[in-house]
Amino acid sequence: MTRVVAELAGLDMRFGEGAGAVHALDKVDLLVHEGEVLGLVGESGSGKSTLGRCLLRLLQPTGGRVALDGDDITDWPERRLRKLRARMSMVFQDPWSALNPRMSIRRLIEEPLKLHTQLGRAARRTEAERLAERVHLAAAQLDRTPAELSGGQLQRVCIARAIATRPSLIVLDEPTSSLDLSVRAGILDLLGELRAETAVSMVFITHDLATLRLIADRVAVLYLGRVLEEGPTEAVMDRPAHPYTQALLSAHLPADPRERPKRIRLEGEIPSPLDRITGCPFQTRCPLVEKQCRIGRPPLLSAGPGQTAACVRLIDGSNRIAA
Amino acid sequence: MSLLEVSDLHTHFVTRDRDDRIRTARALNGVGFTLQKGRILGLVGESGAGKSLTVTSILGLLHPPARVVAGRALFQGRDLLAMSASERSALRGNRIGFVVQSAKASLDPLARVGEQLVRVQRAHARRSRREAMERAEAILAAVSIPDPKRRLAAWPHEFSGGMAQRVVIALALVNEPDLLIADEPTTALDVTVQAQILDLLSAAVRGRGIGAIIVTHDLGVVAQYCDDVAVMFAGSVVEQGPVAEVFPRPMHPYTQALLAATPERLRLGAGLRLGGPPPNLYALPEGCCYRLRCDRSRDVCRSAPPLAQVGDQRAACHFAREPAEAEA
Repeated sequence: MTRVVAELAGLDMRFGEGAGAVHALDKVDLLVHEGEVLGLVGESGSGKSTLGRCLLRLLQPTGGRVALDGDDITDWPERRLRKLRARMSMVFQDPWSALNPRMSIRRLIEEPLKLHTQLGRAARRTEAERLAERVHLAAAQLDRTPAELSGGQLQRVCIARAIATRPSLIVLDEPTSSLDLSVRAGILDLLGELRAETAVSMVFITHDLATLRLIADRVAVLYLGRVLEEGPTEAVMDRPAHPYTQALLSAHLPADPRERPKRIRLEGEIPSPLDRITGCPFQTRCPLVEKQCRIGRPPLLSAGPGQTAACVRLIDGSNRIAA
Repeated sequence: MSLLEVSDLHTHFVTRDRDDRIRTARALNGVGFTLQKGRILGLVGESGAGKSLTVTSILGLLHPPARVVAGRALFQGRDLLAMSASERSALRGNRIGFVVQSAKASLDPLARVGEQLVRVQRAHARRSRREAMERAEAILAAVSIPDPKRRLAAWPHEFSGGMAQRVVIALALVNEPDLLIADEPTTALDVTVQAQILDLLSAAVRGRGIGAIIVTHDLGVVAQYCDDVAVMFAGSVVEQGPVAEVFPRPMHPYTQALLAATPERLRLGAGLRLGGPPPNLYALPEGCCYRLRCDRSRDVCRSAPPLAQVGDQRAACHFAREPAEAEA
């Protein structure tokens, strides 16, 4: 197995206290290996963005452990983390609000170099030009401001900033969700190139499973703050073990009228994150729910090579929903 | 007679710049499509293509500086664009139901759900409160809201996003319209909820035999739920026809590019696809609007593209009849 770049162990994240507390992450264990793209998929409120922010220590978790390159950074103070920021970066969903509108593209790309490297002015300039070329931005665009660029071009600027300090980990939070289809394809192409050329690890957060098939090596499925299933992308997509993953995959609408997937129709409501759930978080909507699902937290069980799922029905193989 | 026939619709945004010169953004440039009773039309395109603007233009919901400058929109034979505002508002919410993207924002936060359903009925028909409330309960049940009688007394903030969207659909359907227009009805919802809402919407349309337009940027929604599709680019419909014909055999290069960019068909590393920005609406290129982004563009594209027709499928492109280069 390749080296572990980032590790979450028993990670807990609560917002608020007492009865009003939202349990955004509930004892999450996750490993990110060198050079891999880990896809984090989940619906709104599943905790996927919170997980990304904990991983980069933009949030201080309320329990558990975060490690980067072997260092336990769970309790590092902000001063100490600042030095570490060169080794990790983030790309956000909305490139329009992620960039300072008053700075030129050149300054925006040079900014992380200025903060984290010893490069002089001339070297920074050359490096910014190289980065712009790397993300397929025309040199002429370096002297523009964000308002003059399209959404796809701005997202390229954000990616150039994210790779500027050659980090070991990049968290991308829905990086293509606000972009149009044809622009999205170009951004995914670029991320694919970066994956092939460098050893950087990427955590790709999305609600779109079809995108993950293109870009992710491994997938973790989140639901109400818990990892319900994890495994190699193909295994999870082709043989989803957890009933929730099966339902999620079946809800995808293929852009081909000749394909008519059999859909799993879910009844019931998603519980409020304010509710404390005993047992499996998917119990209110699961067609296969049984008594023991409401009792204890289902353990992660093996569902195939490298694939695990938190469903008690895996024990006797009755975890498939008949479509 | 078609249920809705839109032809040559032009909508402009007319403003003045800092030097007080008049600037005109030509946001819709001759939009045309038809919708038959009993069918669902998907209006697709990228952001800024004019999908929602087409709908708001037809419904007379534009705000200055946007203005319809030309065109016709025949609804059951009557031109919506030539009507007075009061004639139009007698149709809206009555013969034409409208479902918006942000369900929660379109519900009145200060009125119980039942009250809102009563209001929209009594605005268009003489009906007692009691009768209207009974119908309200029936329509909430029809959109699969559990315990409808109790939910009539609920406030909008008590509903989840998916449930609020059901209420908005109920509001659009309660007066038994002939046409339902849904503008990105599921974009704000989670995928597992999206399918439920679209199932509901299409069942309602099919069950009542009415016509519907679904505005969306999601080709999956069109492929799975619509009978016909109209593809928009830079304020025009570049291709339209039955979904079963357009999806397997797109004629317009833009439709081809759009379909090739869906995650199912996309192959990483198959060459750099720069989508490119949409054309400048203040200075549209002459001839075909897509020619600056089109890899098949030639000199002839500087002239207005003719409408090529194969069966029920129509595309506005000089090369629509020629097969595209070998596809992977």
